Amino acid sequence: MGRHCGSEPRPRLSGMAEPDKAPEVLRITTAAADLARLYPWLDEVAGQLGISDPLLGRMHVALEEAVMNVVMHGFDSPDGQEILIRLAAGPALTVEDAGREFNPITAPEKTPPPGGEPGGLGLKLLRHYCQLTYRRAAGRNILTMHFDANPA
Amino acid sequence: MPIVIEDLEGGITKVVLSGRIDIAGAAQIDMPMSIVGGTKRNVVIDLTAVEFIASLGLRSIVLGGKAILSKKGKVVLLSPTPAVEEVITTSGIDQLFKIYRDEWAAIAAVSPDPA
Repeated sequence: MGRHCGSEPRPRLSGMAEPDKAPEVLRITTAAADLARLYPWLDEVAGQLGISDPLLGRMHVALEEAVMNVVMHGFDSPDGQEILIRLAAGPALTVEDAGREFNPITAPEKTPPPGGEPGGLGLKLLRHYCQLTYRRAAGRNILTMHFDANPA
Repeated sequence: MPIVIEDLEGGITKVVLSGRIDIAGAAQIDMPMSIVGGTKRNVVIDLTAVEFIASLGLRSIVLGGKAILSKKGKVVLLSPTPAVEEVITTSGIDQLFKIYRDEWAAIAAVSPDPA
């Protein structure tokens, strides 16, 4: 078992990544210093797919929401827990973790401000920026965010 | 530091946010926004130079802003980019803090009421 901060090479997506390109899979932990790696990784691998703003910006928002859901709600002791993130053509981002079961498709949205607290904003943003698919397998949450390749 | 706090004439405070208010950026603005929330009453939050924000950054803004509103203060948002505005409107934050395009209009909106 390697250390948890590395990136994991995977079979390449057809017609895209070359051997010297960044891997489409990022393995990070919930440690604050590790989370900052999300954005440069996404910039690099999305760039290999020819993805740029505004789609890239939408992917940044959704990925932050999905990962922060795991960090803030997935574990009783979140420090050092592993999160696996994968980019596939479509584009689609998959976030996988072994935290407590959480299906963002069926989870109720909290009341937004001004009446409610700001903690429930993430689900609204996730559902707005992408189509979600979720499954629970082998004790892991597997959330895939499917993006419109040509957002308005 | 993606946050600068300026005191203007008339008891008005301008909070200038900039750059990426991502996970790291949100951590940087969290404490200053809390201080603004606890000490100021008439606040313009200038988003002109914010390149990115998601719910973590919005949370800091909302917590600070709601603290101001709770003591009958005023808070508005100024000139978010279209991408940042989409995040704000999708999350419903614009129902709490009105968005202005013109700085003078924003300042007028938060000015203290005449005694």
